[in-house]
Amino acid sequence: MMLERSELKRLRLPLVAALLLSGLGVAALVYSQNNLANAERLRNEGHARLVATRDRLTKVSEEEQEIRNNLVQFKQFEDRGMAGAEKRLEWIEALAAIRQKRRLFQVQYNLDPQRAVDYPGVAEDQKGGSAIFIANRVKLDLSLLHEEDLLNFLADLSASAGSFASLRSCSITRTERGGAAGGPLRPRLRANCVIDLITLKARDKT
Amino acid sequence: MAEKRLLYLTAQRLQAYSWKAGKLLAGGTFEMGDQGVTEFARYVGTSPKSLYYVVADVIEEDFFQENIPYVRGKDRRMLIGRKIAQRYRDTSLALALSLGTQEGARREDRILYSSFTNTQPFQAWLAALRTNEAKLVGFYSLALIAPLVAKRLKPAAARCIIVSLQNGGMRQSYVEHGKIRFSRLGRADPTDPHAAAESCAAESNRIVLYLINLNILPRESGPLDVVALAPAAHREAYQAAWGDNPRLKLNLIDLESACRTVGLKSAPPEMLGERLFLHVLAGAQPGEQYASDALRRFYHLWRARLALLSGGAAICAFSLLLSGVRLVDLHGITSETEKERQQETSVRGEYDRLQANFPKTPLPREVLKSAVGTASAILRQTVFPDRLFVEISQALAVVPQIELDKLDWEITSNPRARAAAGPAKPAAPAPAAAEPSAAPAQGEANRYYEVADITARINAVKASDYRGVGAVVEQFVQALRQRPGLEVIGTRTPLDTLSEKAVTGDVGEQERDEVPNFTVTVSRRIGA
Repeated sequence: MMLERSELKRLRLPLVAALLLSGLGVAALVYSQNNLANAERLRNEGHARLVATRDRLTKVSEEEQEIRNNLVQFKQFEDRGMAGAEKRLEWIEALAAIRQKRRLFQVQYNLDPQRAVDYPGVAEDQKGGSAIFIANRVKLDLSLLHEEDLLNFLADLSASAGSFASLRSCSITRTERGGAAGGPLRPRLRANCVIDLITLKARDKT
Repeated sequence: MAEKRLLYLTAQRLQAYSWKAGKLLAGGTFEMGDQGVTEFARYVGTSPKSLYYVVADVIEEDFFQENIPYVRGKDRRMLIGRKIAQRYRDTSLALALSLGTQEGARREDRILYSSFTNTQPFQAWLAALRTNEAKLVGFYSLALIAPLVAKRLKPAAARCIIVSLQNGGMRQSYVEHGKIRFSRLGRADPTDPHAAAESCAAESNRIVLYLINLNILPRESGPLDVVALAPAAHREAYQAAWGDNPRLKLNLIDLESACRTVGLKSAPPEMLGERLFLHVLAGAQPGEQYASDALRRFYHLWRARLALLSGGAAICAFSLLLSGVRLVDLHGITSETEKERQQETSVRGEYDRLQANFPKTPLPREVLKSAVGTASAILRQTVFPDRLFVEISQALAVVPQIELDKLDWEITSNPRARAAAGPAKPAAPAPAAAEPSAAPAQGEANRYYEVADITARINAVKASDYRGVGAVVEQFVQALRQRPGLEVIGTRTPLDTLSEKAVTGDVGEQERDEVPNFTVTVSRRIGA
């Protein structure tokens, strides 16, 4: 049965009503579906939080033990000077004192701006602005009589500067061969070393 | 639900009835003629929402059977349409009933064509319906309703003649396997039972002979059931009129009982057998009817409207139902979420209570953990070179010809890569050593090495004595390798440069003053 155009016009109102009813139904369906999906999401999130909290509760003794272990280790690092604040003035004075004490010919230093410790093995999230440890790189140019002067210098620096010193590289070059006996003492070796003086970054801010 | 109006149309008049819940109510009687039609039009106009069923009970109804080729779809419709047009003048009231297929030399459809030889008396009534935009469900005849009546009364045989007495006359319809095959309206006086019974017997005999002559009824099919619908009081008259008839078997059914059987609760008293037919029609609404789509257009429009509204309402109801189910689910989920949130609060409280007893930390816990990790990594790669220097000094003491020029020391996690990039040629590893390759293997990233490039000169050996120089260097390398944990990872001797530059020399008595030198790279794993 084919309806004519004039007859189709008579169906306009029922068609609109049918569309409205269908639209109402679909809107109700969409609304309830959205609410249900949202509620399911909230339930899943809440369940995950509950599981995580329960998990933390069951591991609370392990967590406490871990904190105690961390505290012990941190104390050890503090004892080694790693947890101290930056002390540039003390370092400079220490360099002068060691030179004086060890009667070294010459100690030239160059103190770079501080930067995050970026050694291999350090976690990536500790290498940027969120780094906890800061390296103050010191480039040393030493004129030495013999190699033991260097080892003594490094040992004194590590012991006296109040900071943790991490030697990164050292280049020792002979500057005089077969020195003339009986003459005034002259440097026979030259050492160029790179040392990082490591400190804890702005401890009060963390 | 729209009201159903049944219009019983005879040659003399149109009788209107309304049907509701098994009750037939008289709507009016309209005599043939202008006045009757006008009154009928007024009657139709009083209820524009009603559904109309026209039931004709006239002599002019024609039945004709013919086979057509077995075709389907549009071809079949065109073929049947052409056949109807050839046989009947007015094709707006005609129908073709399929009686099944006949298998023979070729497969054919058995079609029963039916219409009215004169439709003129109907036109005025149909025009009145059309003018009032009445919803004509269909144009039926008692013959088309007879199979439905037979089905409801459940006669024993598959073939039977249904005889009923109406205001229009005595209708005899031959029904075979639930389908009408032939029908005829004869004259009968409803007020005289004996005359009606005799007429029934005589007409039934004639119809049987007619059907046998047309090969519609098999000749040797045994006695044919005649289902006579008559009042119980007429039973004796019928049995007397019937006599001993070998071709026909009388099955007299009380009309009142039949009406009760099919669920007719009440009907106007002046109605005869037509009340049974009209009630069955109103309850069943068969698909086979005469009116063309043009005559039923307002009914189709109403159905389209109803379908649209019903569809929309169904979608809306279904969606609302589904939404309701979801809201119930939502309530359950929300309750569950709230329950878990309370549990979480409780567990968190317990955790916080235990956490309050944790030792105080100088830094936030996570920061402390990170600080310990970082400090450990720094410590693992922090060492002073004194031990390595001692090892090198002891190796130098083994080979006094060697005098140290320069020593470059540093810490690295990949000593072989450094040796490959540095001044010394990478050395073949010692047989027992298992040092990392140029690229650190997985798991060795946290191993650190102190590496030293030893640059030295060889006294007491001439620069042109490549073999001598090589022997001294080899002696030094062997001395280094004997130191525990020390690994020689690269050497560079004058012999190594032979293939890299032009070499000039004098193999005569004059020797060069040049002092041979070399570079050896050693490494030692920190913590080993």
